[in-house]
Amino acid sequence: MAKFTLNGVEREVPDGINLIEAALLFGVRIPHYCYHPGLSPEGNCRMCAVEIEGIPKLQTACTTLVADGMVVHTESEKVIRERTEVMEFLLRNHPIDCPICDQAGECGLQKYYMEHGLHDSRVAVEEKILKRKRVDLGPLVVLDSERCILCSRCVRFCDEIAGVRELVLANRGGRSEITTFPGRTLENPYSGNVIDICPVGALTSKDFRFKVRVWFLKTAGSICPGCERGCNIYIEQYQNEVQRIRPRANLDVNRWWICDDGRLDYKWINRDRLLRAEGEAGAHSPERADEEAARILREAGSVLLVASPRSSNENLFALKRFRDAALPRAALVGGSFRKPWEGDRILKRPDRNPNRKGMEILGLSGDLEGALRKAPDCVLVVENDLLGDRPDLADLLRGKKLIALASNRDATAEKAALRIPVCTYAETEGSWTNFEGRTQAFHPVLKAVGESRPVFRVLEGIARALGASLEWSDFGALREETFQAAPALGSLSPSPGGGAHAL
Amino acid sequence: MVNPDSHALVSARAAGAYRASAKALAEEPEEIVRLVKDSGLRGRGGAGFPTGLKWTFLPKNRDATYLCVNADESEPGTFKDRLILEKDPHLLIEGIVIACHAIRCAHAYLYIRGEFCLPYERIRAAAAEAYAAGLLGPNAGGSGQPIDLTIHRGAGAYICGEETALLNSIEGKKGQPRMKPPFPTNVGLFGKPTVINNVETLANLPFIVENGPDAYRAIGTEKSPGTRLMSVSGHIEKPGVYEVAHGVPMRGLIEDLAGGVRGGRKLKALIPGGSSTPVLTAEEAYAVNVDFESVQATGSMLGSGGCIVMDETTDMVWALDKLAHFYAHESCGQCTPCREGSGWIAEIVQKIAAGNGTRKDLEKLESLAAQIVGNTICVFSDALAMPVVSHVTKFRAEFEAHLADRASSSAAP
Ligand SMILES: Cc1cc2nc3c(=O)[nH]c(=O)nc-3n(C[C@H](O)[C@H](O)[C@H](O)COP(=O)(O)O)c2cc1C
Ligand code: SF4
Ligand code: SF4
Ligand code: SF4
Ligand code: FES
Repeated sequence: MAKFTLNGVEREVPDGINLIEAALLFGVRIPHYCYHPGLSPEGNCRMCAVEIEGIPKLQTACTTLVADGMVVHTESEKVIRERTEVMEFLLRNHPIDCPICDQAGECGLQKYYMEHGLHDSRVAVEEKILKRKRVDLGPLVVLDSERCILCSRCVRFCDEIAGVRELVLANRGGRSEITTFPGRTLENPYSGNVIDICPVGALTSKDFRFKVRVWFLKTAGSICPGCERGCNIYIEQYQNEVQRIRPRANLDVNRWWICDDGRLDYKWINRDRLLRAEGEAGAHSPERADEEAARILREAGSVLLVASPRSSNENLFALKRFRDAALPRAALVGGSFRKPWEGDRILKRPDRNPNRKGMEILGLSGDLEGALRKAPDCVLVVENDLLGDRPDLADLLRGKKLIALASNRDATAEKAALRIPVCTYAETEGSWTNFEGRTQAFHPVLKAVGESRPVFRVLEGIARALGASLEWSDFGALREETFQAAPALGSLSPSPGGGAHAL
Repeated sequence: MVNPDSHALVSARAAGAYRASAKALAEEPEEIVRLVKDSGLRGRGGAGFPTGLKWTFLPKNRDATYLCVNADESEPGTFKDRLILEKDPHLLIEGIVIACHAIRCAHAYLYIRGEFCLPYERIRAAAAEAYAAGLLGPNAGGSGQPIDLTIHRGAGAYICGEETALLNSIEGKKGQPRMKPPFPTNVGLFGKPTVINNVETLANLPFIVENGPDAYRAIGTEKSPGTRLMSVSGHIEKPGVYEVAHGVPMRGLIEDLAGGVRGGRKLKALIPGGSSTPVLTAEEAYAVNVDFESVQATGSMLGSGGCIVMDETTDMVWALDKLAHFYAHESCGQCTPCREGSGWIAEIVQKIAAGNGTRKDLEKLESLAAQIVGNTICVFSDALAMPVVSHVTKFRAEFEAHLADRASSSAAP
């Protein structure tokens, strides 16, 4: 521990942290651009300058480790003047095209100009250096060089995190520019992160550009469904459609990053949704759908229930309870035929199911293909696109009544005798347990689309139609029961944030 | 009497080269460090830092040490290292051998300015001769220790003369300065403790070793012992490099040695230590001596000894325009104040020089110069601010006369 004095108050902090992080522990925000807790400090933007007694020159807080006895001033006259001066320099060649800039509303220049600048401009617009406005860097990212403040966060991200030297700060002085190497593109599997860490509107997302102004977005903390890692994310929606996914810092899981696949793994939520229940005779109301499902299940000689490692722990537990209460003779097997992808040493895990571990803990793993071979008369598939993932299973499934609880019109839902719409993870509460056994909650950001219901509510309805009693007063009650029944799920894991990364 | 082959090993040997290094190699390294400390030798790269003291900053326990020889010499007005490289490269190599022994360095790197063609050829040939003669190599000078020398050519960036940018450049990275601390003596080239010394600094070592600190101190002043290579350029009859004992009057250097101001004109201004040092008025220039302390007393610096002479016909706005342009071009661009400020300053000076500047522009110029000082990774921005401030304050009337909205004395009808 180190004792230091921050703006006149003596404070105690852990050793080895820099002044930006140390001050933040006490709610003192030191403005900064180039510093990011996940990257090596470079000290180039000079925005974080603070006064340390005994040192004549201002010091950069990002590169100064707190030390015993240090007396630091973050709001002295000298510091405040310096910030205004740095802001003036940063804006000297900045195009100030906020009206057409995607970053407007979450831009470090706007924020700190209001907090620390507010100077009158001493530059005429025509005196500014013009640079390239629309540089195609790679599949995800566009660069506007005029807006770039040359903080080098993006360069350091590629070097240090993605492990590829794809970006470089070329040229000197006022001609400095971010660029890829000649003939090369920014295409590492984590490239999208540079969009998030760029403190200004220089790097924008091809996927999100010009879609919606950020102040219209509504946000919820969630978990990426893309693989077993369970990266923490924010889902952001406008008019009940997901507009973008951003990483949410969690030092234990994904630090500040997500992979590009995870970033784009949302389009299916907006597209090809199953809006109403449909049977062979046409659309059904939710109640009719539950009755119809009950009828099919009752008439079947043998039933197989298929659980999915993409379902939440709570939905998986509800399915177990459904079997016990309503169809005690039915087989219940979990599994997925999603092709694994190649994992890496950064975040991506080979298994593309976010809740494989939870499913195992809940005792639902098993031999899915074997169970299908036993030729059940009816197969109820929950949140699992068996046919889409393995078209060759069509033969095995031929002649069996298929009931699909599905959010989308996937191949399995299309083939089903009855398909009932359910909510995606973006519309419900739930939890997944990642490969390390860490159970993490996600929260709804969208309203249920069409007549989709949470899986456990559909199961309740079918159980009711089957004359069984299965009911939870609310999601909380289901969650409590789930975690009681399966202590190995542990408790919901907190998400330790990531320091002063959000400017 | 000029020897056209002064750069060759035979000539150097005939003049006594490598006697001092042989003597040094037979001594304990600590003894050499002590000699150099006692001699009071100060760095000739610009800051005048005591060389022996710098060496003692190396950590006691270290697995490797590097010496980097700074031969980047890109400061406008300074061209004395070039002379050593061209005419007496073995003096430098001998200095390198002595320094390597003193700091226990087995591998020295010489970083030479990319545009130095002949100097590069000469130092390369000299190194080859030294290797062939066993003065460098696995058993340098028969000492049983290895001393290798790698010569690395720059690619045309002034900033690579800044010692940490130089390290990055040798490592194959972009030549831009590093944050300090850590200082190179702790974490330098390839992460190892490293000493960076200027060419001329090292060229002083053979004399010190051979003749002892007292003989060295017998020349020059107390605070600036030894001699100094002064590069004299500009409006001068005999431009060139002059070796003078520290402490001689500047007037003597200009008027006598260098033949006086061109065409018998009057001196108007003088930059004493390379373009980064504040300009002196003629009066100030004639009052100083060629040593660190006397120039410092005027608020300027002896820096790298690059004397730029400007006669009475010089337009000081034009002169500053050239300087500002150079700095805007050479800022490495990392730090916000330097990157943006250097370009902005150059633009304003150019505007004033073109007769389009206003009183406001002049004020802006002064405030910007103040704004870029003190909050950057290296002192490049100070090296720009100082000439700006000194030009504008010492020759203010000239700047005002250039302004578009000057108070017109001879109002045209
Ligand atoms: C912008 C800048 C350029 C410099 N260029 C040179 C140079 O070309 N040659 C040099 O010897 N020192 C140069 N220096 C000084 C070096 O950083 C360093 O102080 C010097 O090489 C140390 O050697 P010395 O102690 O022997 O003087 C420069 C410094 C700055 C800030
Ligand atoms: S593009 Fe963005 S992150 Fe990269 S250097 Fe410029 S401002 Fe910084
Ligand atoms: S690594 Fe896995 S969990 Fe993380 S963003 Fe990518 S797909 Fe999603
Ligand atoms: S002060 Fe200028 S030259 Fe020095 S590191 Fe900063 S930007 Fe580069
Ligand atoms: S210099 Fe510290 S945040 Fe940029």
